Amino acid sequence: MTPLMEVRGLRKDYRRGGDVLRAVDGIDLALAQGEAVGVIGESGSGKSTLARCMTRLDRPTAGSVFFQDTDVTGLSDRALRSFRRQVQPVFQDPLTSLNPRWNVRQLIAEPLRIHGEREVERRVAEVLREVGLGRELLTRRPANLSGGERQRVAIARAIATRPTVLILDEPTASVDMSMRRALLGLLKRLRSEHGLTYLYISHDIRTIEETCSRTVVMYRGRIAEEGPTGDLLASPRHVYTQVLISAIPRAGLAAGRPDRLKARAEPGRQLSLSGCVFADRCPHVQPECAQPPPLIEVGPGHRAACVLADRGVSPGEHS
Amino acid sequence: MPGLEVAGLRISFGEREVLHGVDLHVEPGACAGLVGESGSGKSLTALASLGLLPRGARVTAGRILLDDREIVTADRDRTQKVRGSGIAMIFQSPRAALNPVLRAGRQVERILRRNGSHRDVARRSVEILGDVGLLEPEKVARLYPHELSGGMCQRIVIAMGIASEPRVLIADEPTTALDVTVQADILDLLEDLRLRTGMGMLLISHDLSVVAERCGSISVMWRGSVVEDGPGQSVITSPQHPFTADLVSDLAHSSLPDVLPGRPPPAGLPGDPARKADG
Repeated sequence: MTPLMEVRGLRKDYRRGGDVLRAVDGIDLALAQGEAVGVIGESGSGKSTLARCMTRLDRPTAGSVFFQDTDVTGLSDRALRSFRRQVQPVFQDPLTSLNPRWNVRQLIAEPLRIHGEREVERRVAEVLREVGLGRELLTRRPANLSGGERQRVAIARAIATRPTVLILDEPTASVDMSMRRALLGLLKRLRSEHGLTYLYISHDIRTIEETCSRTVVMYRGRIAEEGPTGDLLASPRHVYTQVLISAIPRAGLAAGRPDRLKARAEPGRQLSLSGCVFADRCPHVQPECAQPPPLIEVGPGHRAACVLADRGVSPGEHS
Repeated sequence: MPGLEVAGLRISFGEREVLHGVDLHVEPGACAGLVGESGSGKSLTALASLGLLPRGARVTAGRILLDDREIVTADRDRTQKVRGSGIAMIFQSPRAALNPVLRAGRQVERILRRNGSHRDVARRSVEILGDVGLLEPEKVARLYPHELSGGMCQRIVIAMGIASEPRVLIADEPTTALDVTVQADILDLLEDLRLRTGMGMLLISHDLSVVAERCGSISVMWRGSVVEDGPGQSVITSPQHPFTADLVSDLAHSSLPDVLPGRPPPAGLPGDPARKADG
């Protein structure tokens, strides 16, 4: 089956003065219709740049983004209109992504007007109900909404044009636990009711675990590991994924926490670009890590770009 | 009682009471956790302990003691003297807590001077930067906040917190803005400092998993009251209040492996004692 959305060899460089920062460095990724794929990784790993390129808010330096077999990488803004209706972003902090001078009605109506919806008022009322907000909020501005309400407005805006894909960049990072739970519930319901496809970016692995069937781990602009979420968390094969997972706080380990696997202290950011990008921090670095790491298939759909991926017992299976 | 004791603390903004009689205890050398959502009164309790209540807030009943000395009561406020020498606090956003136009070393030096140390503050400041796990502390001391990563900034904020050798360190969401690996490093550092100096620590977080992993006792706040407290294990294994139960259920359905990757080192990998020969 051809994927609904696909990224091939994606690269994005940002120029800062004379320096070139390679934020995304050769990513291949496919989203099947109706799938929810999680992306985890530390800040600076290129997750958000990936999101910006996939929504064409940024133009990739190299590589392609395909949507329904159309390469949208080079399309003009006019030609992108149908793509933009179908692939909608939701950002981390609605306070910075929503126009503070508009009220909720204007915020939700804007994408509908742009995309030529006939009955704007009716559709605004409809999506407002769908995201669980009352009509009394229609005249409020973002500053007069709670964090959870604001994020619901951002989601309402995103689903207003009946998209097929949502690119969610840390959608619950700015809210409390109970609000997070409610938002995750909302996102799950919207996905199952409308058959939406999600790319779900988060640094919160528990959220990814709850939401996504497949997960991609990014490190310094590359994919370190990808696989079915359960397999990947239970049996991480890339040393970076192991470091990441062992750092997750676990309840009930007080006064008996085993030493976690730690990355080595980060030296200067210079490293050989040809080899593994994690090598300079890897606690298990090998001589062959100076070469590009092979992408090793360790299970069905589970791949890791690490020379140690298929050696020895996986730590997760260790008893 | 030695350590920090908050007893029956009530705080109001005008007519509206926002803390309804909070009790807390942080023993010397121990780590007490305080969890709750934003608006539950966690930070207000912490700020009251430092005498840093926001404008309009007033202690209407109860008291706060440090090593049996009253530092806050409804009618008096003696916190000035205690601040720095007795209780220190580190905040969520390390960049906002640092002065952007001062080199890292100077920020620690200022705390040292304020606490009466006049000899060789520059050398002592570099020592403390080393204590908080910064590599090359001499070099870091000369850098400005914008030249440092979030994790490094938080280490400097912690250095400022411990520079006054407090009896109790209050850490209010110290890792919320940080990556999970950096979060674990910072929590390790705080634990290490606590064990080395014997200071008590109050770890405030909205994330029960952080508090549950690091703290011997846990207090849960909800809408201005402590609705549950006790030894960490029992709060997690048999939560009594529905709000705590909700937080616990968020942790429960995780399929993360119980065994942490990396310990013991995977057989056959570097780090495995059996492999030493070829290392």
